[in-house]
Amino acid sequence: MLGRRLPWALLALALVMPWHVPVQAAPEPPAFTTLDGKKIGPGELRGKLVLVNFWATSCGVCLQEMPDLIATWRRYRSRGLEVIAVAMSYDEPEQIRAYMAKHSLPFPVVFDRDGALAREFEGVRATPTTFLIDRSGKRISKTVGIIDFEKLRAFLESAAASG
Amino acid sequence: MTHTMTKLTLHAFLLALLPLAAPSAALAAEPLPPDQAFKLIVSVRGPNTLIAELAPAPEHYLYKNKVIFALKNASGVTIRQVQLPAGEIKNDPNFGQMEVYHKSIKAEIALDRTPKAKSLTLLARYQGCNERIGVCYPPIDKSFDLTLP
Repeated sequence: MLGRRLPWALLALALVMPWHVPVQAAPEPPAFTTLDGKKIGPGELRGKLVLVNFWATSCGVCLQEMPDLIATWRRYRSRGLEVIAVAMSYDEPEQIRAYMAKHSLPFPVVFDRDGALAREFEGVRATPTTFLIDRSGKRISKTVGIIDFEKLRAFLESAAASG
Repeated sequence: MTHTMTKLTLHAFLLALLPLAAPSAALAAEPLPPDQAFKLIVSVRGPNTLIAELAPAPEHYLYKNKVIFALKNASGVTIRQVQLPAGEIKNDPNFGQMEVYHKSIKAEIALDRTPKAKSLTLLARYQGCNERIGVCYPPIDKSFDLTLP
């Protein structure tokens, strides 16, 4: 009897207590607000490959990879890549704006003023940390440290071919 | 029939748990927690001197110009001078020549004080990076309640 009831009980438990399950993959991309106040909702990102790069203007490694990130975005944006650069809470908006202007960052830049995005993305605590979100909104990879652009391009080629 | 339903329910339950089996970050190299990456010990050397010993873990470094000290709750006490040793020169493509510390250093903090001033809180801020993974930490803030002799 107990054997028959157990699966139902487990299913009920899974349905009513989902917040106890430490699921790593986000169900959908979160909403972003750029430094210029533009909102980017999950709907706008659905169907795209989204690269979310946590960075800071005080992070030399982050600045080092920025030109490659720009080149990657230019190459793959027409094939569905979106890049969102999230500056960490301890950065200065003026410094972010100055860097954006100096390097003509072509993709959306978000200032994570209250650290909410860093918390949402598995508690980012060092930069750069980069996430890839697939076309269905599922977080599929996390890279701590400088991006291996060769690998990223190989992935984007295959993803673009299959998308 | 009941047996089939039971099997289906079990499958549904396993499917519900499936995301747990594929955590995206399973293979990501995580940096050390900040307090393990950079250790700070503060001591009172004399009536007018504090010593702050900063120790980066192996493969980590601190930026000299990001090591900052200040006082609070320190009526009658001010910082006269902070002496930091020379660092190694690191050529950063974005920041130019930066002085960094790969090894433990001692900062000497000279104080001006009135004879009655005894207690103070030393605030320390420092920032550094992990060379192997290639990540930088946020600024780390610490405070120490101290009593002067």
